[in-house]
Amino acid sequence: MSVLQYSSAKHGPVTLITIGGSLDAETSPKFHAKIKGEIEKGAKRIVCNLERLDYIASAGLGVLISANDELSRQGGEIRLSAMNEKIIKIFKLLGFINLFKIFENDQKAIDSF
Amino acid sequence: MAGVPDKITINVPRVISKLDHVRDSVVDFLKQHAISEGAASRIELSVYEAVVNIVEHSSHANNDKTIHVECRVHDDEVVIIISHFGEKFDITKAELPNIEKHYKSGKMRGLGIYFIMTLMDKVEYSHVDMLNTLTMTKKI
Repeated sequence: MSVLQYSSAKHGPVTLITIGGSLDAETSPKFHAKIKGEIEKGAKRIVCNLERLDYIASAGLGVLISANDELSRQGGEIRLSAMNEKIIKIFKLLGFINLFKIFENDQKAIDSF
Repeated sequence: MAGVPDKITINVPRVISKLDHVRDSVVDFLKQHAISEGAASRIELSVYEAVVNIVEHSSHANNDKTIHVECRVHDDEVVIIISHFGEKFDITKAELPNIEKHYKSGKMRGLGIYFIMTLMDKVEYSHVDMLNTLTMTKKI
């Protein structure tokens, strides 16, 4: 059984979401509900910290893409931070590395907005 | 590799919460064969997407039938054979999304087959007597 760790915190106008574990077909619906909830509560500028993410499947990438699309229609965006080597490799292999703005740590990602 | 079996077989029910077992078993097997991290990562992603695709898109009439996964290591390639009973769906004929356009359209679904076709060196499909067989090959 896959496990997803999720937490969020406000840093001024930026919502920092920290995701760990596995973002796959089993856990992505939960992640989708959580991030949708953040957007419905008014979050427009979101940083997703992926440092402790062990695995991301197409379902997880799909949620990130969909949420980013929802935010872009509201003038917002998702930016990624602290991606570990494994997740960076997956993004590179699949050609997703240039689709999101990626920062080496949370502070740089937060300051970039 | 001496002492390490050259293949593993896994039977898994058509339940999403059981599919990480396939991923973990294949990764452990590839580690035993000292397959490079890059190739193992590609295989891990592709195998998982293939079994998820079966669970999400095949008829509920076959829910009681398991998915059979076989992974073999040869000298220069890893071959994964995934078979299940059900309606024909040839993923090798599916239209692949343009990732830039897919991203801009904000679509949540439709990336699984793209993963497989992008990450594997060869993908073959057959459908005989309701048995779907997907054979994926990765050079090592």
